[in-house]
Amino acid sequence: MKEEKNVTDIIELLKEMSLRLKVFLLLSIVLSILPALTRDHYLLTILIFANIYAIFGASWDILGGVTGIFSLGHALFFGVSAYMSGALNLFLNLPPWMTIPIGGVFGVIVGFVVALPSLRLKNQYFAITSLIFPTILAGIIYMYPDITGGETGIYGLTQISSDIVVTYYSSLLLMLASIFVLVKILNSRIGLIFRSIRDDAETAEASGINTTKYKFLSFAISGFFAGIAGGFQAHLLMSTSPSIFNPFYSFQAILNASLGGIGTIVGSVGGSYLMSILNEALRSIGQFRVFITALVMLLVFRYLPGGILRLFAKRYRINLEVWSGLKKLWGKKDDGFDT
Amino acid sequence: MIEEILVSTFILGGLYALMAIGYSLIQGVSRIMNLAHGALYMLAGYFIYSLSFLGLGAAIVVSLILIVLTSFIVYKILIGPLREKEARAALVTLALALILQESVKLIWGPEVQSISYVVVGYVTILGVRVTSQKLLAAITAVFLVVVLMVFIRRTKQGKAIRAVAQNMEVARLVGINISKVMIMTMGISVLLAGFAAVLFAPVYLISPTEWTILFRSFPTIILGGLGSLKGSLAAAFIIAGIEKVIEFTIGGGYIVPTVTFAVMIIILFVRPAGLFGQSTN
Repeated sequence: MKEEKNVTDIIELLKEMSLRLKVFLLLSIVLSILPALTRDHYLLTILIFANIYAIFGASWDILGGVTGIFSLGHALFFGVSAYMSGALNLFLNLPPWMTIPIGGVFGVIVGFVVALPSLRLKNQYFAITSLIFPTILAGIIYMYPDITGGETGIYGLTQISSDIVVTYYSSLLLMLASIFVLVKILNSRIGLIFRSIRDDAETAEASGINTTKYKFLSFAISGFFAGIAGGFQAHLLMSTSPSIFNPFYSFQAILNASLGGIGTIVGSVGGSYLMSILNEALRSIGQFRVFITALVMLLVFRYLPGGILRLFAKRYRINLEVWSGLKKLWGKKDDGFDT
Repeated sequence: MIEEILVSTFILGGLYALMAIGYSLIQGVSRIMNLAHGALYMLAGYFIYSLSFLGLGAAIVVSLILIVLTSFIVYKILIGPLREKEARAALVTLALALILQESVKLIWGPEVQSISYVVVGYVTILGVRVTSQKLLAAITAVFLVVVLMVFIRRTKQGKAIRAVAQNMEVARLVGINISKVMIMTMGISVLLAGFAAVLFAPVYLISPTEWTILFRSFPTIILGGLGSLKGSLAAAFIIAGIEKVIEFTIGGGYIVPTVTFAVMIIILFVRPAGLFGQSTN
């Protein structure tokens, strides 16, 4: 009896969940048991990167999608952390499980630095500034090749693990934990305040919210998770180079978040997996890769601001409308026949 | 050395002025960040390059017409429908820039291409020998900006542009056709990028990544303040001056954009609406 009740509870819970969350849940179950089915090095590597970019995309989402602070240069947090984790590992011999969180802390610090101009600037000026920030940092790295490694970057970092399955599970765990925390934040009072700042900062301020404080908080959270993703990638590749500050990295984060649905956090997991699969499918026509990524980006932003799932949801709704319309039509006909 | 700095500042300043004014014109009027502006400059360069079999004069005219037509299509399909949604419009134009970069790479190859000079030969000013093309480019750039200023100030269309930039709602109320003004502004904006390509692409060469010239124009755009033509013109020569002083004293390469970008951010800290910009909402 009791068990039965639990089952119905779970069914009720599932019914209440959004479609996006259902897809996410299904995906995470599949991903958790996947290594039992295959230990294909190639496949797992793709999925590890998808996990990293899911965290990176979600970290953009909390700032850009949820709080409405439109950063075009998110690679800054990612890159700074990759460099700092790398340096700590190389020079102080700290293991990855320490350098990655410390990288996250550096992401927070960078977040505070970038938050300063954003408070004073109008949105459009901030977008331009944020686009430029990573370029400045890359320039500094090129300017002092003796300290920073210059164009070749730093290499010879400790691997996450020599076993690909262990690396896979740590990336999956990190991703699920990050998404869990970010969704918790999104649904908390803080998330509500973030959204109120996005929708109308002046009204939020007028109702007694210290928007400055919460903007800083959003930058800090976003910087931390972007930093974790950056640190993980540095250890995964066992190297970091200035190309990490390439604007294309920042666009990738925005694209992943938008593909799954801006402002939903879990959306970036779907977006990241979708883009990773697409990228790998297009490996044989490698010269079209950037082209197709950019084309997807253009189509999503122009026609699908709610993300790709919205496309299916919309179709579903249309079907429902057609169905109820038919029923109505049928009913009327019946009525007519009777009288 | 001072003479050399002055002359090269004048030339680089001409390019920045054309790019920055073209960009901030459309942003000032429609509030949309057209991040594909640099890509349209690059595309115009490639148009001239591939049409050069027509003869240079014809190639330039046809390319300018083509690039303005392209801008109309871009506005109609991508920018116009997103006019109220600045963030999405910025990302769409950014994606467009990347698409154009990749298309150019696929069609014309990744290597650097050169375009023939409009004028050949050298001239000597202030004791510095420069190619006539560079001098012509800078002088024409300043001339075009002055023509644009007169157009905006004196003609009926120019007044309509200013009215829309100042207050779209009121402009609509007094009977100005907003979308007509927008598309005209877009055309003028991209025409300036096209002229920049005619004048400066032969000097600086073209490659698929040349669209990032827009990024290099950002310090000028910021310093000039969006929507101020005079401010942008002055800012172009100030930024070019800073860059050239660094280049001649410390050295070229990565340090030049790094310093000007840093200068740009400091300016924004002090004056969030740019040095010459008024803070209209």
